[in-house]
Amino acid sequence: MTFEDEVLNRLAPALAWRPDWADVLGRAGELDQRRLQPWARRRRILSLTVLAVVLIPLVVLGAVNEFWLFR
Amino acid sequence: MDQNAVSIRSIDSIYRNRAADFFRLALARTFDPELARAAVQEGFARAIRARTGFRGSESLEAWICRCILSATQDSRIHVVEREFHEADDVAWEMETPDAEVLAAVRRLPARQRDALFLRFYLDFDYLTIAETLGIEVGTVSTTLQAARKNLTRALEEVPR
Repeated sequence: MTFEDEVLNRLAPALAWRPDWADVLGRAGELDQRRLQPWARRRRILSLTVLAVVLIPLVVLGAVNEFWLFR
Repeated sequence: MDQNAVSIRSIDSIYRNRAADFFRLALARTFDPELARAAVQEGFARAIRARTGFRGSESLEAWICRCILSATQDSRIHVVEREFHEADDVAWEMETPDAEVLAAVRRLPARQRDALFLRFYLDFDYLTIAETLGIEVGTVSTTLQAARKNLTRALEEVPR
């Protein structure tokens, strides 16, 4: 090890680094968006469920009545 | 979307592999482990926020490194982090660098000091050092030689 290496090692020794990617994302404002994503997913599931609840009985009802709507 | 725009995943990959080295670079600049840590975190956050502006004309590491170097100079980080970590119980086991070492490093011209740090702590090649500091590749070798010479001279001049 050269004298210069020794000086730079004393200046900034290799300390234990504690990685925290969530903190980086939080500082970048990305964490909030990611937290919002489950809500968006739930909203989509809810919309599909409501649609299914309305459409399926309509189709069943139509089938039972020999699709009188399309006559 | 811009084809050259960098993904968060690419930045994450560099964070996982190189953050500890960037931390040493920031530590050598700030002489304070908490501030150095904050500068690294903030530097990567800035890189994420500005990722659509990355044009790919330089290496991603050099670009992120510039974000971190900029964060080490941001006085707002210094104020906020000092307040935030007043109650922090995490202690860094680090001896304060000798006064003569600090004095000698502070005496170096900023470009020489940064070139030396990038070479030593990050093991950057000449091209990446040039990209990070915005200088010609041909001048990196001369800058590093001058930095080593000046550091040795400064350490000899410091009264013991």
